[in-house]
Amino acid sequence: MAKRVIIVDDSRAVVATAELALDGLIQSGVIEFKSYLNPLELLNALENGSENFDLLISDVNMPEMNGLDLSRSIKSDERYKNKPIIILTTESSEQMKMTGKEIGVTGWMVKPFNDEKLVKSIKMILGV
Amino acid sequence: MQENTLQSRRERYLTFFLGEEQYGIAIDKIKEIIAMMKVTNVPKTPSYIRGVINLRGSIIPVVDTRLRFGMENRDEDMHTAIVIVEVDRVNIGFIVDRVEEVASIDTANLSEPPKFGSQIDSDFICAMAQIGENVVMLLDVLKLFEADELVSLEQIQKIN
Repeated sequence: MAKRVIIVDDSRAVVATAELALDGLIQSGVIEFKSYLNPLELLNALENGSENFDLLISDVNMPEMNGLDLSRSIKSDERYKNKPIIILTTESSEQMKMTGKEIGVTGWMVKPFNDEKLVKSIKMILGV
Repeated sequence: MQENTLQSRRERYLTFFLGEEQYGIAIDKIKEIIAMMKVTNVPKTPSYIRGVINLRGSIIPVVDTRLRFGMENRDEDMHTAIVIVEVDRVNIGFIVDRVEEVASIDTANLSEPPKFGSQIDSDFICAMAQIGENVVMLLDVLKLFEADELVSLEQIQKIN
């Protein structure tokens, strides 16, 4: 069954870039791809059970909610606490990495990300 | 999502806005989307060539898409992006107002381009598609250039 990959980023350009990079995996049915521009919308959908994921890719700086706070909320939910989360960021400070580690995020990716690296990481994390 | 029928197939397009109008380019031609960056002017090029960018060591000519389409100039903002497209083996950047999404379009729902009414010359448009409530004009990027212009773009890359 296709693994569900969700990206949350307030930039449509970043979402489209990720979707283009993952097109091979999407077209071959290895993954399903869904995007959210608003982290609160994703959080609501996850809370009410209308959404689910096998891997979440989240931006950090979003107007409605910070990606690390979003990850913390998701990870505190029993249903999602073991699900992998990759954080997308323009700069990864040590402080941010500490916070990420404490929350339990799986990895970091610095924007603009390398397409091949993104695909490789996703394949590795999902075991596909 | 509707089931595919035998007669139609789904093709994927990157869509973007120029002003109020939405355009699409087939994703197999798209190399990359980047945020607007410094464009260096190059003399003796067609007027709609804004200049070149240096993208990780590659020199890429950048088209002022608004100018090419005869639209009025507009100030850049945080949404302004450069879509890098492969046109006849040459990578060319197109400045767009705002990237929208990657959309799957059912080829059964394509229609002929209009002969008038669009802001741009309909020669560039290979088909029209409906996505939700929006009409998207699918571009034939090769037709945006004359053959000799593509050669000159290749020259720009080599010289730089």
